[in-house]
Amino acid sequence: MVETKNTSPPSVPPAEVDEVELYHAKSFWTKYVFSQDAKVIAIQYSGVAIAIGLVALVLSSLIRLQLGFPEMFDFITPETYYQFVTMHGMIMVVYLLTALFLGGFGNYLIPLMIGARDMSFPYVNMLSFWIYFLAVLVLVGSFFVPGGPTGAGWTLYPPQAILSGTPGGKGLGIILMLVSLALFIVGFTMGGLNYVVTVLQGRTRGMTMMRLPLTVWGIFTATVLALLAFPALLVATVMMLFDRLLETSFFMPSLVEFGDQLSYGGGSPILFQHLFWFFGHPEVYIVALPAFGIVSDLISTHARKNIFGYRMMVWAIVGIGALSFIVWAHHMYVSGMHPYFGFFFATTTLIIAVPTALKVYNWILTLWNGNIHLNTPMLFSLGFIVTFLNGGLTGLFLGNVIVDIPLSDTMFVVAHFHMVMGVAPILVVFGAIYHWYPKISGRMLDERLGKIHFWVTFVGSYLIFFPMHYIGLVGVPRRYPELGDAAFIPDSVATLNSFISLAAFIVGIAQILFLYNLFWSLRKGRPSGPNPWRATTLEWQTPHTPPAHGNFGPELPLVYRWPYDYSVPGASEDFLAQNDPGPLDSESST
Amino acid sequence: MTVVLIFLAVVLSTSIWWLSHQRLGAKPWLENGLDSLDHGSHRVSLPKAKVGLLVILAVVGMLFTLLFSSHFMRQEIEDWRSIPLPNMIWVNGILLLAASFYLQFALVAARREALQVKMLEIGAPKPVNIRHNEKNNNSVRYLLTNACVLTVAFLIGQLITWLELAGKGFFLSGNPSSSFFYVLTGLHGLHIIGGLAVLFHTTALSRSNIQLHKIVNKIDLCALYWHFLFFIWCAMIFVMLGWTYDPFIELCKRVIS
Amino acid sequence: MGVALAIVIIVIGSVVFHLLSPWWWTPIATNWGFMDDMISFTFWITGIVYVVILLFVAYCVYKFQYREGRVAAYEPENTKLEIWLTILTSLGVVALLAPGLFVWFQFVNVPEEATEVEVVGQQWSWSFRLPGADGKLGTADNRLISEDNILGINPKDPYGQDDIIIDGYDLHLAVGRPVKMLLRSVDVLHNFYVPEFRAKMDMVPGMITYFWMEPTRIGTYDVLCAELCGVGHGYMGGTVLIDTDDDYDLWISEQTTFAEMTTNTGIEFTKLVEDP
Repeated sequence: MVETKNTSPPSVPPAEVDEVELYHAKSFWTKYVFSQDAKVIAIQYSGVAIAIGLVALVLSSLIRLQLGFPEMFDFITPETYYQFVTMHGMIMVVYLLTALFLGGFGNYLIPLMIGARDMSFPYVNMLSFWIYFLAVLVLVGSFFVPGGPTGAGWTLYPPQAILSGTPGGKGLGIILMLVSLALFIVGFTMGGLNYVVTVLQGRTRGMTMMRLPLTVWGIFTATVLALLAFPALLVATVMMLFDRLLETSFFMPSLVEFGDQLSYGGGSPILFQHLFWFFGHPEVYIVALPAFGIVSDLISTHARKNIFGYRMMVWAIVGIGALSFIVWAHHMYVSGMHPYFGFFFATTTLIIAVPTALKVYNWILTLWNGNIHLNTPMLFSLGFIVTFLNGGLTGLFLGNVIVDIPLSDTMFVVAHFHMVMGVAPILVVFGAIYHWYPKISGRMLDERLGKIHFWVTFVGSYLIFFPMHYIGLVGVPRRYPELGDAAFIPDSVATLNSFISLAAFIVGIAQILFLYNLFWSLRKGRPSGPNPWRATTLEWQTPHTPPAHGNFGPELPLVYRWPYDYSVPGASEDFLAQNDPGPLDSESST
Repeated sequence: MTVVLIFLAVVLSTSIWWLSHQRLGAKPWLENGLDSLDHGSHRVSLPKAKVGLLVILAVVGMLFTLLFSSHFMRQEIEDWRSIPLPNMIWVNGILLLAASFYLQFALVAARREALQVKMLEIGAPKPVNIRHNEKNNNSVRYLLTNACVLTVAFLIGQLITWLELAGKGFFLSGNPSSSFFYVLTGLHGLHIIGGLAVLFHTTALSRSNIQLHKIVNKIDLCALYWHFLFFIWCAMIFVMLGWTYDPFIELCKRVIS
Repeated sequence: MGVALAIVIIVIGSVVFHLLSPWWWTPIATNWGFMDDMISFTFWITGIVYVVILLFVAYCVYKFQYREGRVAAYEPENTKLEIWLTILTSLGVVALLAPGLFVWFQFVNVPEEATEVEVVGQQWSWSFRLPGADGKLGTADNRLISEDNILGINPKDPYGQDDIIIDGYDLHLAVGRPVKMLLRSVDVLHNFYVPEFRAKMDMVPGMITYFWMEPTRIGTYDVLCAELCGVGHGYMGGTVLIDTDDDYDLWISEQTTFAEMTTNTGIEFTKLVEDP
């Protein structure tokens, strides 16, 4: 390929990225429904993800109803309980968090933050959303088939996932689940391709990798992880579908089900677990890394101070991403795999704690000597630090193989992963919505409602999941619809469970405030202007708010500086936008 | 999972190698301004479609290496019995290799054409021994069409192997080795079919009035994709031949356990 | 002020909850007390880190809250500080990991004198098998399972004939005698979980997994399943008793062997045993 060398005049070179083929929508359908504009796709993704997330929220309330007040509700049988648990987990991890962070925030923020007019392949991007939507429909459809959705747990471990002892195992439930996952993966790969190529090729002039906001770094790295990790789930899904439908024996050993010899033979359930967690562990970071990135930007902007240790933050994101591929088997310490793997995976797991800890230190050191505006996005960021720190530290229990043995498969694990990849990323999602809503809608969300929403959600979630660790410490196993009469469980655990359930209902109901705020502010919110937070990154510098088709005006912005020039000594404002040549421009020759 | 980890190491080290050229050690807060560090070189110097394809290839590669890994892990269980691979696969391999070659030749011819157009544009004197334009166009069409035909032949050949195996009584279920055979070749076939859609489109374009240099990029993508799928096919056959008991694999196994 | 105070309250509340919590592990009944020690030790280390970091956050929020006219410092990085933090964190991580790995080595290496006890899980009950007089368990396979042979013991294996089968009754173990628990599943994944033992492991159909332990406390303990195994998962109970040596010997003398259980004992078996 002959690449035309840029023969720009010595003055200001053109910023336009070549090969931009903006699709101009002509009708309502192509503008709002089958839109190829990343911003519209982002909103579609977020809308569907939040809608299905609300289903998962309702499911979690049903779970808590059963755990808090067992035997009070006849419609919750062990079957339905497992179905609720499974669908709650699967929706939250895959269909809500992955889709929202990458499909939602990724689509909206990547082109705007790097100074591109749109994604690199807008048509593929549109397809990505519609396939995702189809996946969600198939998933929802599984609630309405005979036998109901699968109740195999979100890990879908064979053999039980496709046997009759599990709800949906012999019905359509598990099939629809697997089909929906396969669709999701195909759709995601299309989107992910866009995010990666856009970050690589779509950056405007001056936007070097080391000038990317950490949000983009987080989403970019998470996308790379997802592209490489999701194939493992796809392989597992396809092989399990074959096992279920065509009686192959990829994961099915010879077994006797309720006295009947089945025709399976020789397959390995552990193989599925390896494949699943080869996807599943990076998945944790697929959710966490965008949250890390976003929270860095929120803290920096609202503390009016540059992010502390930007380079370290970038290295940590990349390092965590790379390491996340060699820790998967820490989910399998008690799976019966070769016990010597325990040494390796415990070591890699605890190594990954170091860059993660450094990120926490750097967020906090960013607060030090800052000028902290305690508005809603900042509050959610602080909430994230508390819950993430909590969940990260309990991760040190579970990553350490010998400590994991007594704690694995107890409620301690449930409390841990809800704290670290449930509550913490969702607090970031809320913070991010409060932060970017003005750009998306042109209006501010109501601060007062936002603060109430924050306090109820944050304190409530803490009250749910902090005591839950101790239920696990007692030894109560997870995935039990009721405590049973085992002697080691004191009666007070039931009381604690009721308390946790009450807290969960309050948190659940508080989300109505958020939804109300979201819709109310769309019409009645205070107009925000283009840059209400006085932030430096490019999305706040667009000529239109909300940004018009093509994001920027006739010319793309030129980037002169890194994204964290807050409170620069000597500057007239307390922030210098990335496209601001600034007073320091004259002395910038390096 | 060794195969996967090796593949992953290759992909990740390529990414990290690229990142290491992005001045990751720079202190961006000290480097204000535009021209001091940006010479247009911060992007990957490839067309975005090709970068996109490379990303896809990484994902596809991951998919297949995961299956290879599963194959190896399954193989270690004692009831494993390898199925005899039909001889037809060798014919198929040659067909796919030939298609891959034809695409490469088409790419070379189309590039020559593109270069010629470019030279005309900038007014360079026409080299004496360059082939006639029309003839060149024809050869690209011919080569692309051949690639299409050969690939279709490959797919038919794969179908024949399936029938042959089924005729011998090896179905999808029953013997895990044959399950893997069908799943691997089936998945590979699906990828070929996906690629064929693009190749058909490109061939049709080359047969219309479009100027050849405008589809060079498309031919380039097809060629790369075909080479990659041929490579995957070879790896697949290697895995399924059951040559996994050789000392190298044994050594690897010992290293991981 | 309010936010800083809230963080301080969360920190104090968490510590107080931890110290006063009546919800704590059940007294241990095996030699794996080290696991409890490691949990306590990890609680100490992580607890201190948690308290220090959050109090520091609270201080920052209190001290550097927005005030008209305050200008934030411009401080892109501080390499020295970051290196120190990395070293400290690494040291903490090593302190947590290293002792654990030594114990893990003990955990996976079964002592010679441990006797084998087989636990078989199926939807949704437990069965047990003890080696008979020969001290060895016979081989078994799921494909051999039938109504007469509920555990799929290989009838051709002479070691299997005197194996003691306990189906529908409680398992007894002798205090002070280390046992290697061999875990096997008939259908799906299970996990033999007795909270007092601390050790646990999945049971995987087609595989034999294991853990070992030395019972140290006489008593009766509940068995639960700790790996989701279908709708009956929460109700898959059982009981293990740890007996004194005498009680144990008395109990074991009353059990039936595989050969006794099988309906067609005698001629047919001897025939089977003869041709291998």
